[in-house]
Amino acid sequence: MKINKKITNILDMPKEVTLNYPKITVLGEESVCVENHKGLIELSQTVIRLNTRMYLLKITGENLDIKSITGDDIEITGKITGIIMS
Amino acid sequence: MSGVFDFFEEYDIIRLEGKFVEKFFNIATRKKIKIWNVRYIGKSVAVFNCYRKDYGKITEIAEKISAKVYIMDSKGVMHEVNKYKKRVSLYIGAVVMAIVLSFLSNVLCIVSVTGNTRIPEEVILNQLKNSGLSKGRFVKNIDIKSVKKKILAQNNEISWIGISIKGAKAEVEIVEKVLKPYIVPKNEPANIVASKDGVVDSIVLKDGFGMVQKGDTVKKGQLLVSGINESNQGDIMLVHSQADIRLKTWNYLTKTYPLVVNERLPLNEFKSYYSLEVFGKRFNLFWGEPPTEEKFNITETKNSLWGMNAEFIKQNCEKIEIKAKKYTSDQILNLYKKEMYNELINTLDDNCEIISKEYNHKTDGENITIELCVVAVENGGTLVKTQY
Repeated sequence: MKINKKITNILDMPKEVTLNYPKITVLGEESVCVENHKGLIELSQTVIRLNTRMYLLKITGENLDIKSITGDDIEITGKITGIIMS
Repeated sequence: MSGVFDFFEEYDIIRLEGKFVEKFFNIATRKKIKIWNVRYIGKSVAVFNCYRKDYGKITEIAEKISAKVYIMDSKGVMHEVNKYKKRVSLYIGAVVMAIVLSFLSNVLCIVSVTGNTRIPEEVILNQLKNSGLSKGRFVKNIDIKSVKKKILAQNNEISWIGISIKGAKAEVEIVEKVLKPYIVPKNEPANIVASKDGVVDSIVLKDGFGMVQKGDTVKKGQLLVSGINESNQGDIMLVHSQADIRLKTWNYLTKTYPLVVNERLPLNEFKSYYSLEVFGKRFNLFWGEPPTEEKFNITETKNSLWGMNAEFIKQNCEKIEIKAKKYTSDQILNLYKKEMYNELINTLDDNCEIISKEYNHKTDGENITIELCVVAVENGGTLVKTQY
């Protein structure tokens, strides 16, 4: 794994592709897009918890919806108030 | 299926009830089932969208995790098509409508004539009818070239004609011949009379008998050079008068303008209105009042619909506020000075020489009346046939 990381660093390749790191994109306070997630753990209107390769991701907010979900990507909309990695 | 084609696919809005809704979505995504618009309603109930073709797999997963799924609604273009599948009369009606529309699009419905000022429109329409262009004819049967030739042969007052057929509308554009002014032949006796009121500035006599001198005041129509001379012996001599006569003239233009002007101030708020014009009738494709000039600055763009006699109209409207602004008399004078001067100059001879110009104005509180006086030296003689 370390070799992978070193090669990625040397070749300056995107880590979310080569190392499957989660990539989180936040658009204002209304949308969060998480790439490379590993599954849904909790779903409610105020909290959505996701598993990733590195940590658990807790997204808090109001009226949270999943706009689209695939095996790799998930797009969450609503009023986002917090993103916690644990 | 991806991109724009997703829109056509039939999809269901599904209600999922079970303890492990998260597990359901994880299994579904692993099985590459496309799921979107997931909303958690509460108490282990979620609502989501998925394609109809995946519904079988969805029920299998639901069974696995002991959850229940119900179809709440179905949507998509294909769903609507399937819904109306059995309504044969609707399709027949649509086909008949399409046939009627295409038939009407091939029949000439409107003939408009533009560019005519002297020749009455009825005369032109009559001549067009006799030449093979009239309402009710099939567009394909109209030979534009032959119509043009016939019209030009029939009417001597037309110098050019253009015909364009757009859908079921024929637009006929006409350019009328400019009539030549009557010129007295050189071998015929002629007088020169004043074409305007003024004072004779210079007179150079080439032929004829001068009746006025430099500095004389003349009235319009007054004889300046005579083509008839009677000698002391009673002999009469007729000549074709020729002279360069320049008159000093005083030309006036008076106009009244209001001192309070309503100004249209744009509010930088834009709105678009769409409408459809079929056979000259406009149908609004929006609810409510149509935009008016009092509330909007309107620019209109028209697009003809596939050669049919219908136009799609887009009105780009910018909201405005009308505010009354009071100007001083000097401001109004400065605003319209040039416009008035140009208007007056256009009425004068091309070879005129401007000596002076003067603006006078008076106000009555609400309006301003501006009087412009232009003093010019211009050609002041007109040749007329001698009546003898």
